[in-house]
Amino acid sequence: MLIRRIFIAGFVSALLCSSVYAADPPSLESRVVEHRLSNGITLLILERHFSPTVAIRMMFRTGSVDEISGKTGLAHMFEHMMFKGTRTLGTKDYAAEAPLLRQVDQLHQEIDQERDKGARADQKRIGDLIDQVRAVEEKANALVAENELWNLYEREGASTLNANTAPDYTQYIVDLPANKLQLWAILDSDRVKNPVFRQFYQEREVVKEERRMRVGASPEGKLFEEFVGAAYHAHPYRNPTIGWDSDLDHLYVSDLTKFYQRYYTPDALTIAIVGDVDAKDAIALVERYFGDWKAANQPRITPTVEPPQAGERRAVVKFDAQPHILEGFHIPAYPDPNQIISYAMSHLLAGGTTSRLYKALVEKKKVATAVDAGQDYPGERFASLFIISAAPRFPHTNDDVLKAIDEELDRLKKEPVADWELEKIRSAVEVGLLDTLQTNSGMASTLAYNQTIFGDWRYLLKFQKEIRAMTPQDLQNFARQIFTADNKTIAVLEPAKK
Amino acid sequence: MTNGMANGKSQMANRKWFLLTFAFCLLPSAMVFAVPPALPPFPPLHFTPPKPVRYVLDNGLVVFLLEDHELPLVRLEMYFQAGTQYDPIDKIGLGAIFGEAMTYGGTATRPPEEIEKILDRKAASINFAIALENGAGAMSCRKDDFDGIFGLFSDLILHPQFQKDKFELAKAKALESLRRMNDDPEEVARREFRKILYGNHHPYARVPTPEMLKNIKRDDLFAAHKRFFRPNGSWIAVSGDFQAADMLAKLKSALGTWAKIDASWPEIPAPTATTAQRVFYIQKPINQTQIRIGDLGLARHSPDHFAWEVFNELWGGGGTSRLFRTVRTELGLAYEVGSGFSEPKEKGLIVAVCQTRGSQTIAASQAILKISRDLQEAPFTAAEISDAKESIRNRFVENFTSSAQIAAYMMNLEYFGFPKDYLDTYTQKIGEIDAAALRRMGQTYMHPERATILVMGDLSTFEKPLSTLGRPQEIKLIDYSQEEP
Repeated sequence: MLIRRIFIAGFVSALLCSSVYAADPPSLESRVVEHRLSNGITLLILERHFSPTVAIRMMFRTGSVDEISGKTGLAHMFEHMMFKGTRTLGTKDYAAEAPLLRQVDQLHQEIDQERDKGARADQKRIGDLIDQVRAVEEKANALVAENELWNLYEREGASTLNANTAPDYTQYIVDLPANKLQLWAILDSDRVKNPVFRQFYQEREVVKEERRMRVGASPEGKLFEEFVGAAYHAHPYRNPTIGWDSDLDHLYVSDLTKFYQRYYTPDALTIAIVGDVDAKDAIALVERYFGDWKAANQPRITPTVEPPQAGERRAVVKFDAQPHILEGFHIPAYPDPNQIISYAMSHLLAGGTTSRLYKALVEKKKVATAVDAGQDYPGERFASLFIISAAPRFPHTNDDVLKAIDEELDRLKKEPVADWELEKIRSAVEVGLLDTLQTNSGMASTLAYNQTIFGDWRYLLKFQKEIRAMTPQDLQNFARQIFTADNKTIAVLEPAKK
Repeated sequence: MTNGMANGKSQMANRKWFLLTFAFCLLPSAMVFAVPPALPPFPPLHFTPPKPVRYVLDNGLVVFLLEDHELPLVRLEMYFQAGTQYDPIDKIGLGAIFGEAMTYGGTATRPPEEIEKILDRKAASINFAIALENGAGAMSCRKDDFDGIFGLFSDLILHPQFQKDKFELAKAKALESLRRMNDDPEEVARREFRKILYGNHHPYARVPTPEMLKNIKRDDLFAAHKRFFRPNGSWIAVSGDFQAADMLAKLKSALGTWAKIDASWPEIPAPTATTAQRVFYIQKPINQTQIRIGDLGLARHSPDHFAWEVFNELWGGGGTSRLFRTVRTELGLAYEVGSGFSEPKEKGLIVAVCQTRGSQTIAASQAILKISRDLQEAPFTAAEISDAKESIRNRFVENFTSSAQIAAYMMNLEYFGFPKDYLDTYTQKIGEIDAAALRRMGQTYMHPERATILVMGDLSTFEKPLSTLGRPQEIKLIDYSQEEP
């Protein structure tokens, strides 16, 4: 869900925090200040004066859904490179550095083109090129002022400096003492307008390590990757945000530049500032530093639409770990009313110990020790998945768990939910927003997310209204339309033989 | 600030350990900018965080109250003297089961189903858990629901039932965790590293066996409850939308007659320091190696605390630290690399953590060891030292961003016996750390020649034999995956 933090490239563990969206304390509508810059940037400000701190989120409406075949992982790689500086930051001499960086990129592409010839590759040429690139890299590295952006932010008191890339969006995160808002405006406007992608090939190795951590060595990560790949055949949600290994090996600085021109544009940017600031001052600051940024004006590519699923799909993952299952169903994207109902459904099924699946699987049938549900993974800009996740309890099997889930889903199609269950969902939604409002960071991410994904931060309020008006019939209809055999994808993790 | 290793998972990992000064003023004069782009002077930051009011009830219960009327919510947190470190030797795991069974096990007059239904209908929460060195309770709800929810909370404190099926479920979950305890590589490395440094049986490192879990009876929970829950061994912090006088009256009425009991706690044995470098490995068929290199470090209230905090920042605590800069940015060997430390009552750990591909395992380990060696003399530039101190001082304010956070800090400080002026003098003490103090830290704690090294990964993929690092000893993981219920 949006409120979740700084997750990662992709496997936002959607399922781990059951979605508690949002109520509207009546004042929110009047407290959020909205300002649109003439270049298209949307600025949202919420003043909160409890402590002299401020949370700033820059969210771009671009992510791994905008990648093309052969270049998966690019959006996330780009996010990493946004910490490498600008023409004035992170360098000792940009004029001397720039031609070297171009050479490095050119040489790496030549090396890879030769290598990709496989058995026909000219090994001597490869060796020569590697020697050349090392020499140029050494010269370029000597001109780098390492981690200067990090250093400035940390020295000035950034308690959080991070970013995350998802299929739908890319978010840059800074929490600062409130007297340093101008520092953010200076540094982040510079990296948004003038990014320089230095030390790219070292960073590519870092990202490959990140992939090993999130997927290679993680049973849950691997299971999610296979699951999503089975559920989507055409839409880019099928690809891991972290990227496929061989694609990571074929990303270049020139790819970043093209991606930047097409997708890092002012109209794709929402800035949310929450904390101890004066809204007027903040608007003036953002106008001053971001106002002159011009869009490159290249058309976006529309991602492939996923065709309807025509029968159950299944993936099996063998791993040195204990069994686990994922079960998913395609759900429509906003503004289809079932998109909002899906939040209610996940809470009904897996929110707390009174939830349907917890009662049935964990307490009554004792086939599992934990169960979760979510509806915003892989994303929400496009048709997503309703996902149920569970771990069997020994000696029960994945199949026992899947059968027990089926029985509960069938029950929903036949019997209407009880009034107290509706009350529970409504309370969760209302208290969920109040909880989010307790922190600057939670609120900043929430505002930026809703604006970016749904085109209007007031989705928060609309969401709450619709949940209040929801009837048992809505939930039953959802169950009947969505939880069908032909719309189902199952992924199971089975222990690998040792 | 609870215990458990600040494991260096990221450079942010140990931030939570830092307690801040309570009224402070950070002046722009502290900053010296020498780098592009030219930065303007920033306005000074003045902040006097609201202070919770402290009361002591006649029975010894300590209460912190902090009003905050921004949102119609109330949050209550409780610490009580307890800890998994006190689990009986033949019933390790008792604390973990206790927390869940108490939370969900009902009271003498209210069955579990009634309580959970009320909580979920109101989107309120109640939770109890036993950490290594303390017990913790928490409750949150809408302001209008407070009386009802607090009624349940105090009923659970005074009359928990650990109802049989909930108790059995808590046990079954604990057993299932044992079956799955080798699934997540990072968790395995963390656990095994602690076991190596403290010994398998030390309260800071031990892990239950299935027999121990099965051996735990419901009566054990009732007995533990008697020891853990005493007004004179409990602290409660309430923050949110209420009137303090009102709240105090409610707390007194619910918990004022709770009778005082004295209790004594066993001493925790001091861990034994190692004298020579040791290399351990765990063979696991994964494509990324977990590396941990560390040693015993500081105990809570160590006079070295402030100097070490600055040292750690420079070693592996931040995005500009030596570990991050060298191993990640320059060498591209890791996504996660950094250092962390813990400070329990007896000596905690200091540890460098890194994850890297199999074929760079030795290179990454050697890079970390070299940094440790280099840092023995703390060869930091004046700018590095000043930046690290500025960083710690400037971000200090982020630890006071909500009333709940502040109230909980005050309670935590008192529970763990920090001096009364700890917060007020914090930034000043960080400011006093100089090159000589850092050199002393390097000489005292940076000893790669007697560090413990743990490497977990697929040995067949390493670029050189593990013996390059020293004589390797294998650790075989215990496998409970087929353990019968």
